[in-house]
Order: sequence, then C-alpha cells, then structure tokens
Amino acid sequence: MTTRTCHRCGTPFEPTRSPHGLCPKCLIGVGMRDADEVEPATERVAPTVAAVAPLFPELDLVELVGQGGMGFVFRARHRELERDVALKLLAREHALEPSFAERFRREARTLARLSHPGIVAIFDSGERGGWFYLVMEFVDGANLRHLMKSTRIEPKQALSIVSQVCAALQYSHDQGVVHRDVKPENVLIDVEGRVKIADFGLARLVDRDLGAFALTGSHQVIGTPHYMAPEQWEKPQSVDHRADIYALGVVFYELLTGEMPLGRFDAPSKRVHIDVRLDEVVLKALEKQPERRYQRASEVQTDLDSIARDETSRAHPVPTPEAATLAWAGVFGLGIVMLALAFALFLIARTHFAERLETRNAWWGAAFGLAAASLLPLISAHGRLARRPDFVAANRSCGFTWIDGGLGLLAAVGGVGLVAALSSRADHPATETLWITSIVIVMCTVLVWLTRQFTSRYHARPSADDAREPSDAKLFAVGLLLFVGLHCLCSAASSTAASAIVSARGEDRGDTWPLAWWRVSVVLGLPCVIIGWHWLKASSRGSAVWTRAGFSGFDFAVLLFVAWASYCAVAATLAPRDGFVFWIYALHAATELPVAAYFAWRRWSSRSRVERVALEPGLVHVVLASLSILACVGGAIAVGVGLIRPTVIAADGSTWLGGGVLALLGGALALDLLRRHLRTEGERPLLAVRERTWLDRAMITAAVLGGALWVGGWAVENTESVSVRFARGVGGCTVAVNAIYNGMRSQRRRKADESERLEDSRTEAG
Amino acid sequence: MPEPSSRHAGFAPTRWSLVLAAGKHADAPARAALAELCEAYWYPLYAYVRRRGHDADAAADLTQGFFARLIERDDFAAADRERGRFRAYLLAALRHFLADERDRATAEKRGGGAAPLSLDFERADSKWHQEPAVDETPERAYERGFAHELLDRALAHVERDYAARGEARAFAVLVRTLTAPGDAPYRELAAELATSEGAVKVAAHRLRERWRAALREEVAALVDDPADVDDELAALFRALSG
Repeated sequence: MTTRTCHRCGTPFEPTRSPHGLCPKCLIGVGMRDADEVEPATERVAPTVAAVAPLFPELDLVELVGQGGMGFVFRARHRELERDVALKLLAREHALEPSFAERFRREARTLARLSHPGIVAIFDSGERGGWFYLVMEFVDGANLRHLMKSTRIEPKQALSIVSQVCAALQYSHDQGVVHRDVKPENVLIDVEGRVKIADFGLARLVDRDLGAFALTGSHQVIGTPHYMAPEQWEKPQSVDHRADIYALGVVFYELLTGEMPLGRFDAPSKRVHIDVRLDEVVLKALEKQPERRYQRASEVQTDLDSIARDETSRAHPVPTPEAATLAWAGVFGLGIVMLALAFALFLIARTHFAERLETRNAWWGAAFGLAAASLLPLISAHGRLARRPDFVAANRSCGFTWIDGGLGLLAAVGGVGLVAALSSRADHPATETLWITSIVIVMCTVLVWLTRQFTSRYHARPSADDAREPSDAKLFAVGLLLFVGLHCLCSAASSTAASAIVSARGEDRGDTWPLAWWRVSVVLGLPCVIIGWHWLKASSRGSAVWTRAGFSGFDFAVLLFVAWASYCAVAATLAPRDGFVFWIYALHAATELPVAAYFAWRRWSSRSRVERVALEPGLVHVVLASLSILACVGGAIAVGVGLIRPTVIAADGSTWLGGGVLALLGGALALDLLRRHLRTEGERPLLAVRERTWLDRAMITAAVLGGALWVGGWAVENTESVSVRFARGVGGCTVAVNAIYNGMRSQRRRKADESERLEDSRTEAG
Repeated sequence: MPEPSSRHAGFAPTRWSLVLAAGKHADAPARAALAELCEAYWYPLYAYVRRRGHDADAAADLTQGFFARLIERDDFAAADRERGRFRAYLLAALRHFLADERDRATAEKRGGGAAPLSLDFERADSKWHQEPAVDETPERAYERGFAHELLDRALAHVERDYAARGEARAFAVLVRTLTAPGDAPYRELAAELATSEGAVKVAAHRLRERWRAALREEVAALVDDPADVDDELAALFRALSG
C-alpha cells in the first residue's frame, strides 16, 4: 500500500486503487475544464493555402473561408470548369481511425446521390496527403448564424427560410438521408436569398466516430447540443428523420425570437409580435416525443405556406375600388329590396289583419324575418366578400365611398321619421307605423355602419394583432350580446307561436303584453345577434373562444344562457298547462335548450385543445361574482319563502323552483370562481389582509346592488307585490352577508396589525 | 420519458433520471435500472457502513438489506429532497435505513428474505482492507469511494471503446498522458506506437476529449438535471482533495 503524491495537483493518492494509476483528482479536473481549454489551439491550426494547394492541382485555392468542428473550408476555383467550388478538408484527427476511410467513402457516395436546389451539391471526394476532402458547390452568401448576428430577420423572412429548409429536408428524407446536425451554421443563404443546406450526414460520420461520447462532451465536434432532439441524446444510434424536424423547430424558434428554446420556454408569440398560428407550428416541431412531432418536413412546409399565403393576401391586397363599390352596391341593393318587401308585408299585416292577433303576428314575423334577412348579406360579407383582398383594401383605402353617402341618407330618413313619430299625436293610426318603420331604418343604418366599421378596421390592422387572443371581458361582452340576441329571437318566435297556439285553443285572455314582449324581443334581439355574431367572428376568428385557456368570458355567457334555458324548462314544467305563460316557457325551453346544448357540446369537444393558463381576475369576474352572489341569495330566499308559505310567492310554484335553479347556478358560479382563484392563489391571494382583492370588490358591488334593491323595495308603496317583497328580501340579505364578511375581514386585519406591532416592537427591542 | 431500453443502446448509460421519472410506482425497467446503478455503486456504501463501525458480516447484511428495501419499495421519503442527485440520494437513503434499523433492531425483517443483488462481499472485504487506515469520517469515505467507482466506470467505458476498434494498445500507452498533457514524453510514446510525434499529440488530445465526454456522460446519468453536472463534478473534486 504505497501512497504517491500527484506532481500536478500535489494531492496524495494510491496508484493501486486509482484507475490506471492516475491521479483521480486530476482525472476529474480534466472533465471539469471548459471545452475551449481542453483544446489547445496548436492542435487545430488550419493548414495554409500554400500547404494544401499542391495536393489539389486541378483547383486554384483562393482562401480559407471557414473553420469548424468538422474541418476547414477553402474557397477555390476549378481550373477546367471555371467555376467556384468549396473544398472541405475533414479534421485530421478523424483520419487516425482505420475504419474511417471506408465509412467516409460510403457517406460521400450517399451525399453525391442528393441532388436538390436546396442542398449543397458534392462534386468530388477522396483522400489526399492524409486529408479526407469533399469538393462542393460554392455558395456565395452567408450562413444563417452570421445572418442572425448581422441583421434582424423578419418573421416573414424566417418563414421563407424555414419553408425552403423543409423542402430540402423532405427531399433528403425521401432519399433516406438524415442530416442529424441541422443548425444555423449549416443553413447557407446565397446572395439571392436561396437557402442551401450543407454538411448532410457528415454529423453521422463524425458522430459515430466518437460513439456516444460526443453527446455531452465535445462541442467542437457536433455543434451545440441544443439543436439535438431528446431521442438523439437518449438513443443516438437510432434517430430518424424526425430528429431533423426537431432541430428545424429549434432553428425556427431561434429565428423568430433570437433565443434558444431552453427549459420551459415561452411560445414565440409571447416574445415577439407574430401570428399565433406560428406558435403551433414551432411547438409541434419541438415536441419531446418524436411521435407527437410533425412526421414529415413537408407537413411543416404546408402549414407555413398556408400561413404565409394568408399574410401575403392581407399584406398585399390588390386595391380595386370599383370592384368593391360594385360588391357593396349589390349587397346594399339586395338589402334595400328586402327591407322594402318587409315594409310592404308589415303594411298589409297592419291594415288587413289588425283585428286577428295571431294572423297579424304571423305577417309581422314574416316582415321582420325579411328585414333581418336583408342584413344577412352584410354578415356573410364578412365571411366571403370581406375576405377578398380587393374588397378589404377598397373598404379601407377608398375613404368616403358612395356607400357612406347612402348610409347618411338612410340615417337622415330614419331620423326624420323618428322626429315625426315623436311629434305626431299618439292616438293617430299612422303614428305606430311611423315609429316602427323609423326604428327599423335607424337600426339597419347603425348595423350597416357598424359592419363597415368593423370589417374595415379589423382588416386594416396587422394580422398579428387580430390573431391575438381576445380579452376575457371582450369575450364575455361578445358572448352576452350574442346570447341575449339569441334569447330575444327565441323569445319573439316563442311569443308568436304561443299566441297562435293560445288563440287556436281558445285560451286567449285578450292580454296585450304578449305583443309588447314580442316587439321588445325583436328590437333588442336582432341587433344583439348581429353585432354579437359579427364581433365573435371578427375578434376571435370564429373558434378561438373555444381554445381559450380554462374558463373564458365566453364560457360565462354560455353558462348564463344555459341557466336561462334551464329555468324556462323548469318553469314550463311547473306552470299550469294552459295560457300564454306555459306555452312561452315551453317554447323557450324547446328552442333555447338545443342552442345551449350545442354550445356546451362545442365547449366540451374542444376542451382537449385548451391549454391551462390562469385567468387574471378582471372586471368581468367581479361583476360575475357579485351577480352570482345576488342570484344565490335571491334564489335561496325564493326557495325558502316558497317552502314556508307557498301562497305568498306564486300560485303555480314555478317562481320558487326557478329561484332554486338560480340559487344553484349562482352558487356553482361563485364556487367555480372561488376554486379557480384559489388554484392560482400563488400570485394574488383571494383574501388579502392588506390590499383589496377581487372578492372584496365583488362584495362591494353586491352590497351596492343589494342596497339599491332594498332601498328601492322600501320606496315602492305597494308592499303586497311579490316582486317588491322579493327585492327587499334579496337586498337585505345581501347587505347582511356583506356586513358579516366585512366584520370578519376587519377582525382579521386587526389581528394582523397587532401581530405586526408585536413583531416590530420585538425587533426594536432586539 | 426515455425508452427503458435505452440503457442497452450503445454506450448510453443507465440514467438516474429514468428511475426518478418512474416515480414511486416504478415499473420493471425502472427497477432494473435502479438495480444496475446500485450494483455499480454499492461499494462506497459498504465502505460507509464499515466506517461506521460495523464488522464485515454486519456491513454485508446491512448493505444487502438496504438494497433490498431500496429496490423493492424505494420509500425513503426523508431523502426526497436529495433525489436530484444519485450520490446524495443514496447516502441519505442509507442513513435513513440505518436509523430505521437501529430503531427496530430486528434483523429478520431485512430484505424480506430475498437478496436482490449479487454483491461480492468477499472482494469488498479485501478491498476494504486495502483502504488507508487514516482517520476518515464515514461520509468522506463514502464520497471518496463513490468518486473512485465513477472514475473506474468512465475510464472502463473509454477503454472498451478503444478496444472495440482494435486500439487497445494505443489506449494503454496514451492513457498515461491523460492527467499530464503538457509534460508527457510524446516522442517516446510515438516511438512506442511506431508513429509520428504529431499523430500522438493528436491522438492524446482525442483521448482527453473522449475521457472528458465519458466522465461527464457518466455524471450526467446520475443527476436529474443535466445542468447539475458541473456542480456534481466539483463536489467529487472536493471529495478527493486533501
């Protein structure tokens, strides 16, 4: 047992115990040292032109243009053919290995087989003077690394570059050749912007030479490991073309963001202003598991090309104002004709069927249906017409077109009509007609104007902007508008049908309110649906609301709609089976439940595409939470009163059961809000002692609303009215809940203050 | 998660991260991987137990018992925060185990009767007797032993790699230059290998690169986060200092 002292580090060690009698500490030291230090410059000195030139008499060597892990690249000119070529000499250390020559020959033959405009061609190969060499096509330009360092690469350029790389990779993969070392250094771009990939398969040659050790160790040999797919680390011997696709994804990410996708990286659109659809492409290429990645480079290219086409069509429309004006004229003319027809129908209904309610309603329905339909071309204009680049460009660039003039005229007519209706005698038979006609005209004007505003504004913005996810508040507003509109339309249809059924069954009690209900529904519903739908399309690309993270504002709107539809169903079940009330609830439920079910189904079926992102509590949440609290309290009171004294609330019992539904839903909503915010509690506590949280804001809002209800309830004389009692009850309870909550909160705060004071005094004493 | 079979592919070593990824409900390949790692690094544990004052039989018994529990159940919850690094985890788990054993003092329960690994304790005992009889804490003995095992494994890897390509002789000669690249007698080595001095320098450089890669690869296999490799190397370096 002898101990020796290492003469390098001075540490004693036992040669018998240590591997090969070497100092273990120094052995580890070699592994710790930085890669650059391990490689003394003297061992990789590039040969001079003068030293290499005699070996290649057919070439005029010009200069050394590159030096990398694999070897040295000279620019040269072929004497006979008079063309520029690149001469690549592989680093000599590889040649020490006996089997290298054979493998090199085999790889060179494979490379020579590749003939593609996007791949650097190989002209000659062999061994001279101890150097293995390749004579290749000379690419006059720069590699992507240099380009990235010297200039800022626009997303559009990146798209074009990556797309070309895809084409080349797909070709080589079809030939059974995997690059294995796709990285910016190997992507060359000539002066005309054409992309050429270099060093195909050379990585395999050199990589195999070093076995698996090349993986984490030698950076010089196979480039930075960041471009390597996970499976290339795990099973270097059995990677396939999908490793190239991963590397391509890394290159793409780097091109877009200027950074490497390391660790838990952000989606590119979070870092730079680009189309979110590019995120999907990049992230799919960067999937850890090859099976989940793009399976073919051509698939990446297809996706990129379709995005690029969209961008181009928006960025470079062909502005032909005439075409646009014509299209507008067609759309608008059609609308005017339909409106006129609707008006005629309305007049007929009014004069000939004034006495028969149900027949008149049917005619009115038809008239309004037509009036609504007159706007359809405008809505679909967004879908089809407005996507035409010329239309969009004209809409944006023409400024004040004749359509604006027409709109102004219409608005003026509507306005005059309204003023006339206002100033005419209320009991004059023409007054009502004037009212309705003027309202319809003004409504249509506003809608056309809004549509125009939206189509032009929407398309005038850069594409990345409208591809950005709409905010929660906007989604809720859109959803609410859409569903209120849908509900009103359902309501109008239901009331028409209910009137018809009731009068057919001889149950008509001569009430006038069904007609009022119907009118309000139509006037409110139509614009809501149209604007809501339009916004939905314009702001979210149709389906983006469903791919939103977690629970979006739109989901709340859907929930409210579902709640209302369910309430109708319950009310219909409980109402007496005769009269208008039963029928309208039943029809409501029958029309709205399928709509609700449809939206719920869409939501459910798209849940797998939903990424989990915590929602920030915003104004919408505050309002929703307070509404939920109100609904919950109100519903609970209704149920309670209904159970104790059924006669007070409603004879048919539908109100208190409906209240139960409301209470349940309100409670569920409030619970859901709580749950989700508890989950994301890390950043924003639900109940903070010091600062005001969203729960406090919700409580305050609920208190204000409840207080208003309560005071309003007292202010009304009629204490016998169920609704007044209800309002007072709800308001009082909400205020009470608030008082309790705030009392608890101030208690907590006082305790926190005390403990802080104690802490402070202790610190001072200390 | 990497394919469990990756440890059979070429030189890719068994990965600690594979075991970690499998979690508490490790499947057969993950257990096999753990067993393989344990077989590779069991001696430092044995040395630790001996250093704590147990005799050869008790140390063998305890080591075997520890592995039985580790591989069958892997329930050393207390060692969880150490899990990122195999070296630290192994020691923490062993300490935990020894504390448990002391509390219970019932040797019957150890290992449920079955010995999962075939460990050569006779060889270990003779190896132990070769250890310097210096005053050393058990922890230090463990760390040092671990570093030695790791170096042995990594160098054996490189050696196998050279042998596979018929360069065993070149390795045997060049390995001497590994820790002293600056002042190695390249001329003599060149004569020994019947080649030029320049070629020897290149080959020596290449060996150093491979050694470096192999060592880092070996360490990388024992940590969960590849970023920890340098820290782990530094820890081993410290363990071998003075």
